[in-house]
Amino acid sequence: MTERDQHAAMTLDSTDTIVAIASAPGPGVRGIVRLSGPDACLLALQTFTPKVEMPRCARRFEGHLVIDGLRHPLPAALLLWPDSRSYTGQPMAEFHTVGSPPLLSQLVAHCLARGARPAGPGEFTLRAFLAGKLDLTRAEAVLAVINADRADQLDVALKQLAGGLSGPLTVLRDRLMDMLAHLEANLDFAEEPDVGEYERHALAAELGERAAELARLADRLRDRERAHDRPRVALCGPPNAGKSRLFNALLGRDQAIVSPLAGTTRDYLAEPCVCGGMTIELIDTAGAEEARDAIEGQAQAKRLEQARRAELVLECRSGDTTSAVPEHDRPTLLVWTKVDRDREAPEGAIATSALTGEGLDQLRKAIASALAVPPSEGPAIASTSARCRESLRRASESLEGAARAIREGLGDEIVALELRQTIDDLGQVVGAVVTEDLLDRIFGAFCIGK
Amino acid sequence: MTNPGPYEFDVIVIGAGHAGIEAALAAARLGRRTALLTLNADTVGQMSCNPAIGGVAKGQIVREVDALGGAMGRLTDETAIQFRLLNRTKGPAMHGPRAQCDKKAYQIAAKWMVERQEGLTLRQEMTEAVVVEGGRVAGVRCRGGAVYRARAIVLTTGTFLQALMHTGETKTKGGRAGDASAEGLSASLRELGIELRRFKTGTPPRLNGRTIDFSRLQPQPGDESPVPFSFLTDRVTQDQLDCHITYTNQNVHDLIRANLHRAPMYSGQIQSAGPRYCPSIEDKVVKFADREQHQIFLEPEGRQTLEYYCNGISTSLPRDVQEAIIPLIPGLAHAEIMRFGYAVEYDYAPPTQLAPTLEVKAVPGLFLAGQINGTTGYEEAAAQGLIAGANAGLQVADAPPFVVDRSEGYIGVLIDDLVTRGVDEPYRMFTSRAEYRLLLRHDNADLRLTGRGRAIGLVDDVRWTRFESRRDRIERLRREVHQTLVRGESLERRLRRPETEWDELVALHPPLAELSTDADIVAQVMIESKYGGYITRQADEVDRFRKLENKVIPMNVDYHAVPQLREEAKEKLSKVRPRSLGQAGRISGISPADVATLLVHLKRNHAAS
Repeated sequence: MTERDQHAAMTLDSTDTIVAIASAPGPGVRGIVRLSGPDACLLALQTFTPKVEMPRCARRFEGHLVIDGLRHPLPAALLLWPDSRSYTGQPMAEFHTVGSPPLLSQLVAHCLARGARPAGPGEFTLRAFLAGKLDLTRAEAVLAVINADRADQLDVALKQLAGGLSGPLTVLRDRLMDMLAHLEANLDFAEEPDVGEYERHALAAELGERAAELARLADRLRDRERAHDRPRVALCGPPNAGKSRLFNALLGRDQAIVSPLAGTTRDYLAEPCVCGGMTIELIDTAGAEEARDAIEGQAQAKRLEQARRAELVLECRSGDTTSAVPEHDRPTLLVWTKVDRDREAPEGAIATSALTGEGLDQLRKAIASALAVPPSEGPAIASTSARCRESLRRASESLEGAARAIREGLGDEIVALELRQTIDDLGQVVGAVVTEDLLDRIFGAFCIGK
Repeated sequence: MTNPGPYEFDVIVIGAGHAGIEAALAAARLGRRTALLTLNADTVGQMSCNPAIGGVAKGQIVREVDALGGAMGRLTDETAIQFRLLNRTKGPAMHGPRAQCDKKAYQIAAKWMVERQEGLTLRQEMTEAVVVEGGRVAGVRCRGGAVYRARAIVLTTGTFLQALMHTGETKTKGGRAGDASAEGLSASLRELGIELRRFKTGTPPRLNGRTIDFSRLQPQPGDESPVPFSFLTDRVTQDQLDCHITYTNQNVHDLIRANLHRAPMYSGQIQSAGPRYCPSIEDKVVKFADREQHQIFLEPEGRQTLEYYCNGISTSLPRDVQEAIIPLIPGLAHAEIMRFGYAVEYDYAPPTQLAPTLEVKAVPGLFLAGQINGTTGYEEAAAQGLIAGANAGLQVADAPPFVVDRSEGYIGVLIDDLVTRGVDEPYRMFTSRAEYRLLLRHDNADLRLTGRGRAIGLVDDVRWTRFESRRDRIERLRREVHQTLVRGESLERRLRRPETEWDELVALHPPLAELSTDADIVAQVMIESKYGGYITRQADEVDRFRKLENKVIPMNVDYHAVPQLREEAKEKLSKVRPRSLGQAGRISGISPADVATLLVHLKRNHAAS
């Protein structure tokens, strides 16, 4: 089965329990996690300790969240809709707590570990519609949003969330595909002399290696999520290009040391910044120049690392600078910084002035749209993060299943079944279809046919 | 009601190959007055390519055709000269029965079966046009002007539509060496709005066995205890013949390379795509240049002929090159060619034009089956023939259609792939195409399908009685194994352990001995337990799959009138016209959001569904 089929099944199957972050993205006053489905209330109650004994008729309870990986109980409110009188027409629960993205992700992960499934984009709405709780106009409006290029935008968002991981994950998935192709060739083309048996110990060893690799990648994703839940946008460019002034102007405060002398920002600065309704991590880096001393050398290295880790780079230029070649391959916006002094912005550049505030709104919008995260999609993306993690967890599980099948002496068809599951789950993160691709690999690698 | 005239039928089947005979027999079994028209009544059930039936995935299909009352399994059991269960060392879901058949004997048995079938008329005719009246099929017109009338037609033209054979630079009209090409029919189909494209396939040279030095070759015998194809066959008793194995070598490859410019596939004389899994020897030499040798199976074509099929060197090189290659191969130094290899190009109709019943969506009453749908293989053809014939028969009686889904059989996988995804090379079945392959085993084809066949009249009393007895015995044994506790553990749990053998269970619980006299019955229970959790897992997946398959989409939906759908989705959905939301989701390029949108639209406009 291709992962597309599975995905379709998830969207329309309303007999299981789904979970997602339902509040706006980024840090906020209040964070909401919503559950819907037959086990919604049960699951919520396993996660929540009420302050006082719960009165029977109440819907809202004050209490504490008790979740994996959280040392202290966290104050929260639980809202319960135990029957069909809910938004989705089925049992529903919501946790209202502080709006910390890592915390909300953890809460979602906690629910996933207990049998809930990450909600797809628009899935609560779809359930509401299917239950007759929502009129068609509303449902169609929601679907129009989740449809079409929305899917592509989500893919982009997903890639950003996975940070530098989608590359290595694609490579890993590719290797697993080769292994599967070998196994499948062996199963389907028993008579072909060109198809050698996969030796069991070699297979086991390779599976072990891949499992370790997957575990490392999953760890990196977790680390990344904890450290930075916001998309990173780095200001780069030659010395004295006006990066720090722009940094301050975008933040609306006086943070960096600004001086007319080139090379004032030695290291780098990072601050959360609101752009087009979303919160980004804005990073100011040292100017790109030849390092004159050891300290500058260090700053250079850090700057380069920041640029390479960013989801978006703002390449700053002004009339004072030469046109330097960027040293990174990140998506980039070209920014002309001192338009108050130099009206002639180069083609394709966004003209700004830190002094007059000219072009700053335009730049904010450009940042938001370059990140392809329109504000309305925030919750979907937050849940994308959880989905991404859930997919990796399932991929690890089935990869372990494949290794176990070998240990227990089960047939190659079982190993292939587990491997296929792994590949499908990784496909949820990096996107791809299995069947035809697999046959291409088989026919490309082996001379098959009598 | 007046008696129907000699040219009036309920169902007419054109072509008497493996698709045609299953289609005609199925329609007749349903009680429809059926005609089977063929270019040549001496080639009913002819094997144009190698005389083998079955293999991995294909063997499972034959078992499914048999479970639905089809002919192929019985014909094979009756006429096979060698049986081998492929993948014997692998798990039971991977086992694929395969047999070499006596080509002539198979043909005679097939014709004999067709001749004896009540309600079925076999006739030699060259069909030239499909007659359509009032937007619906009304009959066919044959060479000479004869018109046959019927409300349903099944076309199984194989490689015969506008067929052109190539041996080197030489081109000959015809769908098979020595046979004609069907010339008028393609134009008739195009007039009906059916799109046609070209595919290519090929065959190797055939040799005279008297001139082969078998002493230099490695024999390949059949299985000692052959597994029959048909659920009606208790045991196969005939003597088996050996096949032999030899190999090409660098001299052969050099000669081929030196003559590539004369190979129609490389000179540009043939443009159409051929199957990648059945490449010509010239393809193998070019694409896998580093291989030192390629295997050749020398397969006897029958008991009363010395003709040998050279499986592995399909070619369209000129005859002088073929003549030069053969003596370079070990054991073939003095071998005489009886028939030269050739490639054949033919018209097929891209199968996305079909409904899952194999009816052409644009022409009610017209069904297509076999190679005309872009498939290869006798087994794939037979499966489609059976489904098309049954549906033609059901449709003229205004009965509901008969569709096997992807979770019920390889037949379902085959047809769903064809009508949903289409083909870009001749389609052959592989087990890797089936999502639920642990469930789709050759050993349980009857348990999956015989009941369904019985419900529509495909399965006769003899087969049904046999089936019921087998099913009930399996059930009794299964119950015993699940319900019997020994030291607090059910026998079934014990059986799940990889090391547990059946004898051990019988020792623990002697009453089992009486229930397990039949190895087949024991095997069923064993397989279910040994695959254990994995079978449950696949069964759960099937449940999820069914939910979407059961959400039926009415045929009259106007996708262009759904504003929320993307343009690409509108185009694709309009072309395929999926029958269910599940099928819609399998169309390439259709996203889950498209399916959700469609669901919302259906709920509004078609409250009943």
